[in-house]
Amino acid sequence: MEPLLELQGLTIDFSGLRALSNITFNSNAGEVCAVIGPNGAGKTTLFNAISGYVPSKNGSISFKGEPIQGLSPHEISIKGIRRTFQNGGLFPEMTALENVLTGLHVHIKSSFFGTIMGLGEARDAEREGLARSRRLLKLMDLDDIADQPAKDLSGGQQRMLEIVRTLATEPPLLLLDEPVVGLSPPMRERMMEIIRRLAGEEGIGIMLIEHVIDLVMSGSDTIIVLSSGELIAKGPPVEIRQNHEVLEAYLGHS
Amino acid sequence: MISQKTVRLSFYIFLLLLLIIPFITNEYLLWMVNTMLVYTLVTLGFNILIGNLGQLVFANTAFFGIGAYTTAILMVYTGVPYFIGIIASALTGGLAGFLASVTALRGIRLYYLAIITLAFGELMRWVYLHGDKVTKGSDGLLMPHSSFLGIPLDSEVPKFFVFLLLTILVIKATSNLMKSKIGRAIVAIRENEATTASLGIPTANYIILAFVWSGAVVGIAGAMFAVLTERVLPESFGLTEVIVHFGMVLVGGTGSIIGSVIGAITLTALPEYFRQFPGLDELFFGIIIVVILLFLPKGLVSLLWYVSPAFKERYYKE
Repeated sequence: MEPLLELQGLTIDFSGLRALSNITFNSNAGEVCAVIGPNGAGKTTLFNAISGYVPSKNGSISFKGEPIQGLSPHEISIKGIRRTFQNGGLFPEMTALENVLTGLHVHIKSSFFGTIMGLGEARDAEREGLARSRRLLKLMDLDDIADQPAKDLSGGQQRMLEIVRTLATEPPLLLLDEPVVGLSPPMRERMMEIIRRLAGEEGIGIMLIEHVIDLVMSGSDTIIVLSSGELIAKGPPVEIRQNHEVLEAYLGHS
Repeated sequence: MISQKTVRLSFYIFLLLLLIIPFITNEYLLWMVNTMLVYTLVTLGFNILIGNLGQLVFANTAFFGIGAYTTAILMVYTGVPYFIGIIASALTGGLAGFLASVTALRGIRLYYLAIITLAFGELMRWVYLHGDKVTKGSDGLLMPHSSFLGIPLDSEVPKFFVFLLLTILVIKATSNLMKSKIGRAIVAIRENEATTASLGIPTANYIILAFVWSGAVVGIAGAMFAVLTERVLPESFGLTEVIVHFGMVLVGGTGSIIGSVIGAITLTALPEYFRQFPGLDELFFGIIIVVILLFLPKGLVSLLWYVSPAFKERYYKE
């Protein structure tokens, strides 16, 4: 089976400072792949490089066998890689419903002229998007807060909403930057359950950055360990747990 | 709480009531109403960039002046009908919007964007003053008699009906645009540009679109202004003017179409009212703006939110 995402010797420099060095790995559909490592290891930079937010100098990134390097973030998103952001990427003044509708942007096919004139085709496309957004919110038990501005939602609801919005277009690959940060332990479990279900039932490839090691160990199929911009280990949780290099770099003891 | 349906019904009744205005006012009051209609579009266009896109773009007087001079120059020198002048003003206003968008696309934001776009407005005023072979410099360009689709615009009454029609059409088109995926993309850029791109939205295209639409709307207002004042002067498009436009956006409510209408009406009516207190009029005007913004930071439109949530700006249609 062809890997969903393929990185070959990816290297990123920030004005002379090496942020990522020679990163090579594959990620598959239906697999939860966790990226761990101490602060400053280059985890978010890796996500930024895959999603087109930082240009990569050397190496290659392919998605479904097609090179995506040099594409802009919105082009990569349209290809099917969607991501969330560490500091929350919701549109705070927009309602939950409007946030999801905006996530469906590329699916709503309406012409500029039709929109201005309020023609039937544009209205139908918008209505379809609206119905779908409501369905998605209901699916995640967020239908009660559909008309609330995103900024008024609780931390847990905001995280859920961001995932709903990211999933709206059914992307084949999802990059989640710390999806459970700020959530209570039961909410964390629930979020991981949803992530597992998306990979297992929907066959979505999921990469996530996470600091809660227990969740990573129990919830992921593969773990990638970064340290000072280098990939020091990759494998299933059982292997990583016993890897001496990882224990030394990440947990500070062996 | 008043339902959305009631709000919509009262809106249509309000529109019908507007039609009787010419029969219950005199020429002076009707001139003021016509000025309000012009400024409604001035504010509506400005608000797209300030409120919806959330960028400090102060090129509004440039768009306004370019619109007014386009219609005036075309009508004076080529004798085209007013209708063509309006379309041309929308096009040149849109083009000016496109030119102004280059600054924002190059990553210039906040105060830098504000000062560069202010300079654009002043630069255009210099052009009107020094391009006197065409613009007649500080004397201004006297408008010929105009008519709109056969109706002569020789008094305030026909001007009122033409302006009202234009204003309603432009508001409706803008409302359709803002309540669609296009309007949502523009607001999303204001809220978080990086995230917007991650949803597959080409942010640069929507920034350009917001600028062009804003320029075109204010350009049409310029074409109306030319007919309203009958003489197009460089002084009408100075720095003080852009501050008044900005005041209308803030007093009405940023990012709100109804707010734009309220802001334009309020800040056109108040200075006229205060003229009866010579020497104190500017002081009163200033105090009123300060008081409104102090107690209603979201503008006068926020008062309507207490009446019905239907007045809140939504970026989709049920």
